[in-house]
Amino acid sequence: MEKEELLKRMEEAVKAYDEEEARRLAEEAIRMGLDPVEALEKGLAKGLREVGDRFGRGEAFITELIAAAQAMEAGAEILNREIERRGAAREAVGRFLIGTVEGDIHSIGKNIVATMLKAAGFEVIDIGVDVPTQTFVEKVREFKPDILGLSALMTTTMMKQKEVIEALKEAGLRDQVKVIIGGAPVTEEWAREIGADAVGLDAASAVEASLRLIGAK
Amino acid sequence: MARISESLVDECLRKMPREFEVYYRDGSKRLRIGGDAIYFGSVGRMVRIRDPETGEIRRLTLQDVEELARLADALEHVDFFTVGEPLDVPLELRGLQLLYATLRNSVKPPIVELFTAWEVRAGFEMLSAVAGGPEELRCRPIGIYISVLNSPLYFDPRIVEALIEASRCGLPIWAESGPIAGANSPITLAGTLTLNNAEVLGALVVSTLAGGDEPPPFIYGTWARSIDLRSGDISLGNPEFSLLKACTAQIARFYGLPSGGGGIITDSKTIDEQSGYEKLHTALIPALAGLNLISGMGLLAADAIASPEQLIIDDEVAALTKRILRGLRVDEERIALEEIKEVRWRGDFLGRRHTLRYGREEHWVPRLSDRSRPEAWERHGAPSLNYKAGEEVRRLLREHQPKPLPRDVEDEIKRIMKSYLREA
Ligand code: B12
Repeated sequence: MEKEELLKRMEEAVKAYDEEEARRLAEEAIRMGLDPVEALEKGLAKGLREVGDRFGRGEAFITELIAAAQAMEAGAEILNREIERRGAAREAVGRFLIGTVEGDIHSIGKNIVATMLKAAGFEVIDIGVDVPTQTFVEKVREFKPDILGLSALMTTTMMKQKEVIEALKEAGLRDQVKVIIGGAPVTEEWAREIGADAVGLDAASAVEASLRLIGAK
Repeated sequence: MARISESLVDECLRKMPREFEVYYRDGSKRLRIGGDAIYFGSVGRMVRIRDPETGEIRRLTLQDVEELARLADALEHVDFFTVGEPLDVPLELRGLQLLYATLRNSVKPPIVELFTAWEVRAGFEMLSAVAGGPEELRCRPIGIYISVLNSPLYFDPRIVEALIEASRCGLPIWAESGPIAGANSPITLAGTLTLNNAEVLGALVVSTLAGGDEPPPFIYGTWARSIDLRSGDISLGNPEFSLLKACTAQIARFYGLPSGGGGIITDSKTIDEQSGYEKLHTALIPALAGLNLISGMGLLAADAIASPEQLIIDDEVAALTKRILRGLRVDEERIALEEIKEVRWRGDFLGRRHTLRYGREEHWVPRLSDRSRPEAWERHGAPSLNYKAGEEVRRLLREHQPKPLPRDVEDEIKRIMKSYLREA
């Protein structure tokens, strides 16, 4: 198979939500000695970006976006191992750590944001829901993300977003990571009040704001 | 992981009444919950309100809670109402303050939405104070406890503790789950009904066992809804929502339980054509299927925004739905063969006794809907429904005085809230 054809097929596999095929093609790419970073960017990720764009236009369903993200991740897992082995660096747009704050188990909005960020080219680390403040601090130290995203869906748990920002300051990490907050009760005003760098009111604005923050870094 | 055997569920079902009664706090009316009776109202702790003066969407305050309750008290077709999270009240007191404000401003039974066992205990004491004691409250309940379950199949300890406490107190229980098809529930409607069923029957067992010898009556509840496939946002104004409610009403009837859930609801963020048709089908379809309590009056954006004007409009939607439910009687007098013979050709029926007699009985008269001729409508300044609803909000708030709570009851409630705050 030609390189161009393989990249095209990878893109198609993601667009067809075909995890098996994405995995098989990733292995094929490695066998062919293709640059794994290129295979990821111009093959798998390209497919996901396209589904992401269609989602943004209201043409693709959220279910399809998620399935495409899963197909991409299936292939990416194999390529990432190869990237690591070669010691090459993947050119992700940026690294994004995301989680829902302590006391809050709402996950749907967070998951959508995480998927859209992946589609936009971010490397996303999702640490789940009901995440204790100290865990956020530890994970920031461990993964050194460019951006930390905090989701809170209740007026009662919004306070935790503030707490995480304070804890980052205390740990001396606040200036190393941008913080973006989101969730239904969250407003621009609240973001200013607690010293967050940005707020994402929906998935599209979350991506937009994140790209802006990366640009500003 | 807990499993509940079928025989235990059956045993609990056998203890449950098909119907029970809930009273207005002044005894002026009672709701017979179950059977064919349909009631409309609202429950929810939303934090935003569409300001009736400016149309702006802003944070909800205690004053809004009081005014909404007062409007609900005044409106004929609102039968239960507990709405709004008063953001200007300290966090620990919001649930109880909402209950107090509702009781003060309305005689209609509140739906008690409290999240911890402590709060439930205090809420129960407040209701007892109003009812004249815990035994009186048990015999003639003046409120219903609502338990909000977490899909899929997760029984949050805090929520279960609160449910147990409410059941021990003997408050009627309305347990609802709100699985979201495609998000925390299967995308298919049958799958979502199955999940909803398992969760509600689970709550039935918890409540019945906690209630001991005299378990409280139980309402099979549902807010089952779905994601919007294009965005992942949650939608309630869709046709599937109505179908899910109709099916749940049938499932509840199969088990011999009264039912209640979301309805008369819209995804629209404002009062417009979308809110009009969504409110109607989500009221009418569940009502026709026999969902006993239909909750969503006065809400916009599903259940995220309260709106006084929408409450006025929903009163109208509830009224016309009830009219349809009433159907028509067919007998000799009403077939009116004699009338037809007497008037013969070219006559008119307008001045007839028969018309006088049955006009009121059979024909619904709207409060707000415009039926005038175009010229008359223009002469009156071509008022929109929205505008008339706003005028009605202002009029009712000016004129309607709810029946006050006795002085000593007010004092007792304040004492209960104080002591709760000390212990919390
Ligand atoms: C679904 C839901 C649930 C589900 C959650 C399932 C799940 N796996 O997530 C269940 C049933 C489990 C649940 C439980 C509860 N819930 Co709930 N729930 C909701 C509901 C209906 C929708 C939330 C949602 O998923 N929306 C859809 C997504 C797409 O939107 P979103 O979350 O807002 O996310 C978007 C943006 O906010 C933004 N965003 C979100 N996160 C992030 C993060 C970042 C970094 C960025 C940039 C952007 C961003 O982008 C997203 C995509 O567009 C809301 C009502 C509402 N209108 O929000 C109530 C709501 C949030 N819940 C509420 C309550 C009270 C509860 C319970 C306490 C109820 C109870 N008695 O059990 C429990 C709490 C459990 C807990 N400890 O957390 C209240 C909160 C009230 C308040 N005081 O603030 C609400 C507002 C309902 C209400 N009106 O009463 N809930």
